[in-house]
Amino acid sequence: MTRRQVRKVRSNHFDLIVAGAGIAGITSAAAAAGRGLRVALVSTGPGSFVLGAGCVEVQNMDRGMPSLDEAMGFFRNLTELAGCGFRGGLGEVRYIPTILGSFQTVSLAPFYMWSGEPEAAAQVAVVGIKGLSSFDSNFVAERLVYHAGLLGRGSTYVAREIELSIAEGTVAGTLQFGNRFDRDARFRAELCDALRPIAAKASLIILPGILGLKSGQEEIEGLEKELGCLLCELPTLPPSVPGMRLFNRLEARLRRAGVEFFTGFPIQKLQIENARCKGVLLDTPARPLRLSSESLILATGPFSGRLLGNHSFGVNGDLRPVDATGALIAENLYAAGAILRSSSSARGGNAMAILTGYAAGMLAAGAGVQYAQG
Amino acid sequence: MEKTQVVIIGGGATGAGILWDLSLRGIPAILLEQRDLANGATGRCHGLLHSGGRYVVKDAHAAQECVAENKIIKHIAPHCVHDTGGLFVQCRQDDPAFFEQWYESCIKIGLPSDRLSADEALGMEPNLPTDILGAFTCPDAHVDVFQLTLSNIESAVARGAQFKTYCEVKAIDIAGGKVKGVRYRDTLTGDEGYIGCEMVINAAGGWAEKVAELAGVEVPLRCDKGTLLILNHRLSSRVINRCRKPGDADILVPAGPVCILGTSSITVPGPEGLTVSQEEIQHLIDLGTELVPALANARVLRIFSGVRPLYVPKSASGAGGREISRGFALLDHEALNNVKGFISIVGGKLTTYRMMAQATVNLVAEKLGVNVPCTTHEVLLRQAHDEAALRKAHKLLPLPVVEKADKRLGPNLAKIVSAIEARPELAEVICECELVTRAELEYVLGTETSLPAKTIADIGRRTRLGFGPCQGTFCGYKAMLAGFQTHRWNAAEASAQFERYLDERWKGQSSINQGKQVEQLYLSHDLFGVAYNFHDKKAGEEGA
Repeated sequence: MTRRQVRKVRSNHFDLIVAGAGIAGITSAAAAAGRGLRVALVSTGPGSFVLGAGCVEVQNMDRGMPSLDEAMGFFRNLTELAGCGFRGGLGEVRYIPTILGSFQTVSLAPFYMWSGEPEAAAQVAVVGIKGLSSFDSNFVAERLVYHAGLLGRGSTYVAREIELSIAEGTVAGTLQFGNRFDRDARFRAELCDALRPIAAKASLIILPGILGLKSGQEEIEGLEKELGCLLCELPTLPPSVPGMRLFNRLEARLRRAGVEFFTGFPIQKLQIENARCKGVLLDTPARPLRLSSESLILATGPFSGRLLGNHSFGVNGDLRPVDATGALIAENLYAAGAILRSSSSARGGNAMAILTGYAAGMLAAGAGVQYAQG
Repeated sequence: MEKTQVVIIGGGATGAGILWDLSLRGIPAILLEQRDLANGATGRCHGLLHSGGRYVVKDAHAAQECVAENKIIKHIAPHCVHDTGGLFVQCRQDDPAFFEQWYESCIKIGLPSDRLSADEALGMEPNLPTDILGAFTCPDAHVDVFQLTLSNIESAVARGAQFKTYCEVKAIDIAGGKVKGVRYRDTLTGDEGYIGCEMVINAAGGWAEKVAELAGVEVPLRCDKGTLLILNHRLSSRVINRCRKPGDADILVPAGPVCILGTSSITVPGPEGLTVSQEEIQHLIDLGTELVPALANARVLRIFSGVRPLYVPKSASGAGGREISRGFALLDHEALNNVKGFISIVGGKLTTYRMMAQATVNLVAEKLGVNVPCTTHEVLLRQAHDEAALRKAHKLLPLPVVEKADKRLGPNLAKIVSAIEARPELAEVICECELVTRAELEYVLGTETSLPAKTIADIGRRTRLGFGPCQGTFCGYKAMLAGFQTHRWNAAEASAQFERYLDERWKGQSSINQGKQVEQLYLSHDLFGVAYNFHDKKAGEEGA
């Protein structure tokens, strides 16, 4: 038997089940798999990735939190290996444009957004695409001029529009362009040709996120090199192509590292007996699929408290959920990401997701990582 | 200086009805509204076209008015009415003596009603509790309050009347005991203006007391807050009433793709700054669940409150909100306070708006010596739609889009059709919940319509954009861009518009503390909150 066939007949018992495929779930699965655990990642879909681009903000965070540096380093390395490397670091702050023509403060961002910082005397072209109605380059450019002025930056923004061929019988959409960027060399050439005259007069091009759902550093930096101009992609209204790309690249990386994915099925129930979590029941067609494991990380987002029986809960110093009396709900159960987030502190969500995801993954793998909240 | 004969203050259903009635009798008039049309109590009610059943036991006179107006509105404004019919449900826990009293009262005033067995009622409305004792039918219906108000204005404008939105009246000019004009301020531009006139009609609803003060007269009002919940499904096909003495949360109205449950009844100091407590919401849901158990699992899209401006003559000021008559009062301040040319129309309810307008304009006509009778009970509010345009629309747009657009636009559908023919990209559906095309969006933002939208929320009141489950998260952004692209707003204005719009939308959802709509709200926060720094600006305001 080849290795692939061996994997197919492996049991439904894992060292670790990670529930949720947002940034927290992905990070914890990667951390645990890196420590040699056999990991299952169960999710309904690509989590919050479809909404944005995964930018990380650490302002307003307690920089002294244990393991923060370590977690960020791990995440940067993970994204680098996945081919969508993050730039920046804990000590950095950059101003990255948004589709509202404002700037968002960011400490780490994927390489295809990191160049969006307004620089003195930079000539920036904001490029719209004819027919793509949810992105307006004139609006974005006009607002960026205003906001760059507020920041005291000397960069200038001009609006440009390009025309791209559209598949017959369809309307222009970021998903369509993203798909064709991946599959169709002629489309990539067409895009490059359309951008070339603009690139000749600009040092940075800001464009709506369309540069592929699966593409990596090679393809996007290749385009930058051909144009001789930096690119910054903005996530549009959901679904966000850059966010989906990030997810696809990370998923591919995790699969290579041995993580097994069970995607598309919500968790019906956590099976908790005698203060141990035995596994999960997945709501698969016809009958529930039961996966069992030695430990479990819940990274199911801010609205998934019901999985723990709807009573309010917090976590103890090693990210294990406790009930109202402070008793562990299950000794082998961890929580990470936005499920921990208090409703009023939405900021720093991705940074907390990376930190708690990394810590939970390491703790589940028995590594002596330190994590204490607040 | 602008001049007209009559100035109406207040752009709710009543003011709009008065403008239309005046225009039919050939009396020049200008209506001033401090915000947008149908923004006050008109736009914050159930949208129930009462059959009269609600009031039949307690107030036979008000019920009779409803019986008559219900028929008339269905006749003159079929495009605004969804004639669902209604039921008065006999719940096991309620007083059986009231059921019989209710039915007999209906017969007495000629309100058509049939008696249904429990099985028959459940066959018609399977979401009712299985242990009901029976039900009565009635001709209740849902009326689109925005359409109704806008249609009155649009028809009046076609006959030469004028209106100004976002114009707040700052002063009523009175000299020698006689009205001379009004001074107003455009709240969007800050410009001030003066309109010379012979008469001023105060139809300001919850704000009527304040407006009367400008003329130096007292109009005692009780502001009675009613809170309503919008649920994401139609849980019934008909209007469901609980057959008992009117109380909280005993009416469920199916309204297009959603349904509306209400109301509460709480006396508040004024029509502004209304808040809703968690207890109030839970109270409504608990009571609503007694009437329609499926409601317990429905998704609450939005919570809103309006005030019933109840007229309280000094002799009756001890009564509670539900005890005060739903009848209206027409106050001739010439007779009452020696202010010639000033009239207030207060109290009443949406269903009788036309009757209130008729009574008001009868008095106005008498004072101005105009001898033309009222015809608003027979003249249709909208011309028939253009069959040729409808046929073309079917070729250009998907069927459900055409149906919605036809209902909203009527004869103006032709304008959308020709716009799409000229620019096919206008067929794009911008609001996917309410199926609003870019063509319709550009139409209400443009100069061709007599009811131009000035804000993103105005677009909603004209097209229902943003009224569905996403609450404007996606379509609100696109609507902002459309305003920018059509040069209605520059980029800074568009951005400010969108921020205000989101703030307003978020407020209506912020008191929802559970379920899918909270996720929707957080999505909206996470998408746009960062860009607008909402989290910094509004920290501390957010609920759990």
